[in-house]
Amino acid sequence: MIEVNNLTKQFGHKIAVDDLSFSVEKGEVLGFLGPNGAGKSTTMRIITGFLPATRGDVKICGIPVADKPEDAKRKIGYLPESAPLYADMTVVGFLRFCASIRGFSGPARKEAVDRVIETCFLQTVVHQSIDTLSKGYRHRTCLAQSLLHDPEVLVLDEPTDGLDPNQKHEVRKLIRELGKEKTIVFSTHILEEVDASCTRAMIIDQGKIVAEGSPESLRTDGDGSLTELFRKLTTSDVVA
Amino acid sequence: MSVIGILAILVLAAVLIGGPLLVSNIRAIFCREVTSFFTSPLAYVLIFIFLVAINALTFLWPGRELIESEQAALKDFFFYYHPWVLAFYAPLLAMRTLSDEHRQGTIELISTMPVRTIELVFGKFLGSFVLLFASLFFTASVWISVSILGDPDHGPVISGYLGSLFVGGTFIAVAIAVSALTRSQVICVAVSIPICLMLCIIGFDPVQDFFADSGVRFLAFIGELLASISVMPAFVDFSKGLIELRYLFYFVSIIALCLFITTTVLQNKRA
Repeated sequence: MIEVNNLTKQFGHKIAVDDLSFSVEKGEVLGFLGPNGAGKSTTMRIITGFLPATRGDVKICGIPVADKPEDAKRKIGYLPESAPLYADMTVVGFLRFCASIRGFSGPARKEAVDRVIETCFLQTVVHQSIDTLSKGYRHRTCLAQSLLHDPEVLVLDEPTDGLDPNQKHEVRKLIRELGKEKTIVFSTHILEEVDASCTRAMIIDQGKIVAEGSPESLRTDGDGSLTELFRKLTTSDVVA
Repeated sequence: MSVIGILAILVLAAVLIGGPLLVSNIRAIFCREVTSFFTSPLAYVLIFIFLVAINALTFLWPGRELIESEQAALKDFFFYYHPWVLAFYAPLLAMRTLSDEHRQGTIELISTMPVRTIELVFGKFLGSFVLLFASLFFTASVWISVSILGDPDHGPVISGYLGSLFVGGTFIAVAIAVSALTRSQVICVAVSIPICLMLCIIGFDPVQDFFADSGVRFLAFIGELLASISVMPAFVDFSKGLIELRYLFYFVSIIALCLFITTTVLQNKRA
């Protein structure tokens, strides 16, 4: 469903993603781990067609993102890192706008918007202006837009960032449930999330894959602790 | 003029190569723009200032007061000021179109939806253009006033309004192109207004007279070249009631060119 082949992204002299290759099948939830600046968000932005790759290619359900971006984007639901939203709109207005862009109109649009409002627990803030929402609600509103068109592929950049423990639990549960039917890639800093939601995890550092496998096998590699493995394999940006 | 025309044809060809534009996408972006503008108090403040400026210049400019002239023609009074006021007003209308998308980060969201960049840019342009249309609509009070007090020739008034729409549309397209380059609305306005003013000044009669009267062939050629880029000769014809095909072509070309530049800037910014 997601095929990433020899992906490289260079910003000037800096190599953000370095010859990355992996694939994610339907029914898999891939956790993307790595320190800040490892290339997680850049990889996700290339997968979703926001950034062009310097080299290599990405295919979504067999569709090359670089050649047929609109067709590929129809298959993807994306939650960007900072959950950007139009602050001057209401939650329902924003979701209606996104649904229109996704090709919905009339009753089908209403149905899609109602469905995601329920899925992301937004009922109490439906008519509230986005600039008055808490961080948690903002995140869930952005997550809701990614689910509007019931996409086959979901790319979620730090989906639990800024949520309280209850909300985190609900989102992880949602990812697990959605993962049965869809292909999901999500990035996180929180290592417990890998256990809670992923079928497979990948640690990247300086744009390269440094470890890959099921949460259990990664834990075995880290002598029983994912944190230990993470610290052993990744570069710290804090000078000791 | 011919250079702009050739570039515009290339632009249209480039757009068509990418396939037909999706009207539903343009409509969704257009509706969002208009709704967002009218939910902000800034919209009403801007329209109010625009109306005050146009009416004050028309009725109060020393030596050019419409009432004291006892004329019902609007060419030398009301429309005379339109390009100058629009050079300030159109960038204010369009300043937030793409700057805001960058500032809020929503450009990432909209760019990962199945929308072509040209559809996004065109939807934004149409949104600002409709706001311009609404603003000009409210200036019709001047037209109504002279119709009550005198007997104006309505043809040149209608074509004058058409000219104002084209000039305003050109300035909006310029401001949108600038807004693609910056996340700051202030910088967008500070850069767009001088560009729009230049598009007026280089075709303004005293400037053109300077080049024509210089007696130097090269300067006369420069004057003609500047006039062909300026909005002024085209607008003056419109305000006299003359609608020339070459001037229609000029406005459409320059707007298409600016929107194409915007699209290219947005696409390359991500690379």
